[in-house]
Amino acid sequence: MWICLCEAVTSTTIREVIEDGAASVGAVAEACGAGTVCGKCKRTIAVMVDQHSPAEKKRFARWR
Amino acid sequence: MALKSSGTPVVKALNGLLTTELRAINQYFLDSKLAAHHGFEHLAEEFRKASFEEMNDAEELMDRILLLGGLPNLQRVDAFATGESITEQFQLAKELEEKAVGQLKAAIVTAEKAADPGTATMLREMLLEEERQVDWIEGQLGLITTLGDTAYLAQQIRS
Ligand code: FES
Ligand SMILES: [Fe+2]
Ligand SMILES: [Fe+2]
Repeated sequence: MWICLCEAVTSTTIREVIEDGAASVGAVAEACGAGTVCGKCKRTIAVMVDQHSPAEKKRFARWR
Repeated sequence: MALKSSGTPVVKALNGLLTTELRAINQYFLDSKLAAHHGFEHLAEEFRKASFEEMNDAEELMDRILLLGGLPNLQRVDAFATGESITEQFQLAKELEEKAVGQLKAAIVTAEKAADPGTATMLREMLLEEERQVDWIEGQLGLITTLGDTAYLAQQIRS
């Protein structure tokens, strides 16, 4: 889905940059432009950083 | 007369509902134009109708807020996302309508507590409409599951 309407960035792209190491809302903005205009999508991006950052995955891997 | 947007709990609740309606207007309008862009004229029309219905809701809320001495807050619009596929658009629409239904139920309680049956009656009617919308969206999602994307979408080309 399109998360950032200002910069036309999809959840797929945002997820990719997070998995490639963008570990904060600011880093995501730098990597793909999402969140750089009105900022309304930032809350969603923050949730995605929590969900998809590799560190987070490592932490849960033990339980799988 | 001086207007106060955040006056009473009822006005606050109505402004909260307005914020959601304003998002709904935009979300469905974009859904409609995206559907049209992809050639799904029938769906485009359905989403367009939904967008205009939400605008009617917004108008009713604004009129009521003014009548109660508040200032309708058109500045605050919820952030939203739109789907890359029709299925995703419906899933996001369902999320939106469920939020609106929850908010309406809470606002009805607020209006009743404030001894404002007029507002409560207006909101009850609105609730019935939103529940019908949820039902319609669930129906479409059900059809997509039953028929599969291709067969469902084939029915959405002509208006
Ligand atoms: S929606 Fe992302 S910056 Fe406006
Ligand atoms: Fe509505
Ligand atoms: Fe609605």
